[in-house]
Amino acid sequence: MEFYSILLPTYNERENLPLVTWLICSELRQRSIPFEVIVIDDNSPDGTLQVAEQLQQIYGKETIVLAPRPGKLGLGSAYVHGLQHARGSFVVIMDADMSHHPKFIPEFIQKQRETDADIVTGTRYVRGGGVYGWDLRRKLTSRVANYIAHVALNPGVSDLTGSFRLYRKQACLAALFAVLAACVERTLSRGYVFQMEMVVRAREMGFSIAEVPITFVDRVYGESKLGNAEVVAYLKGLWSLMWR
Amino acid sequence: MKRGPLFAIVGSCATVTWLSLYLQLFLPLSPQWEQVVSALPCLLLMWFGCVSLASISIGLLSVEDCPKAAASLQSEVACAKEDLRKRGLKI
Repeated sequence: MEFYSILLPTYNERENLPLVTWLICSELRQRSIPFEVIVIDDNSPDGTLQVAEQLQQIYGKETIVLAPRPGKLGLGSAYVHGLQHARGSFVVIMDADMSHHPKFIPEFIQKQRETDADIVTGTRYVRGGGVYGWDLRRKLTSRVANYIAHVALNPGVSDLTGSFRLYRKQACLAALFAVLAACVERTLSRGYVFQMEMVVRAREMGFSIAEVPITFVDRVYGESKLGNAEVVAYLKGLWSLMWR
Repeated sequence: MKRGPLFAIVGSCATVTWLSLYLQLFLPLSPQWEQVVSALPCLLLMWFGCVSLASISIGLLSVEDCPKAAASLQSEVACAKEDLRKRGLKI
């Protein structure tokens, strides 16, 4: 049986971390899948790390692994940091804010076994997947962004900017280092661009990618995370990915 | 091949071909063909716009809402909170 390491980068997730951990444990233990949860906390001021320590007492040190960092150092290096602690041959990367439901992890695993893919990525844009809490404007922005990416990159996956994925550990490391190496020449891509770059670089290196439909429940109502700065950053990221 | 260089090569080849036709460098065009050639870039742009619009519209219409997933998450969250409290988690 393969061992799975679930990486949870957190920043001010005191409320959500226990819930997502509980859901992960109940979903995976039910199916007797061996796993560990690696909490990469960037010194959250709200005390996320203290909550993680309590969870460690409840679930055990084998199941909850703490990998704290001194401050906000970016998502890419959070993954590198988490991977150093990962004992599994596969890693799952997901958001700790409850927009990604752990019930999809067993589906990712099953898909990986069926297809022997190096990466299984969750997609909101195929039948069976979906979103909740998005207004028409948010959906339109997302579809336009996705369309431009398809024309510009031909990425071969239907949901580029999603961040709920299962990676073979080697594939994850290889893609990460390709992303980090490309960042030597320019600033490190963040957020949506980072997720997109990971999957595009992985595909360029010849890793196989499968998709599983997921539902995405956005719990941050009203507050639009998509400002003009994000749009500009996204387009800049796309442009640089087109050329190298 | 990356899309950037690909687009650059295809784009410049197409531009050169079109210019050579439009300026009638190699072969003279009849007045009808002259009209067709001069309209080509515009037609291409319109075609691309239509394809984009159609593709985005289909995508937009096919984004499914999943209120069921949100509702079941609510109840699972309640369940998780109670269980964690029982196990002694202090938040």
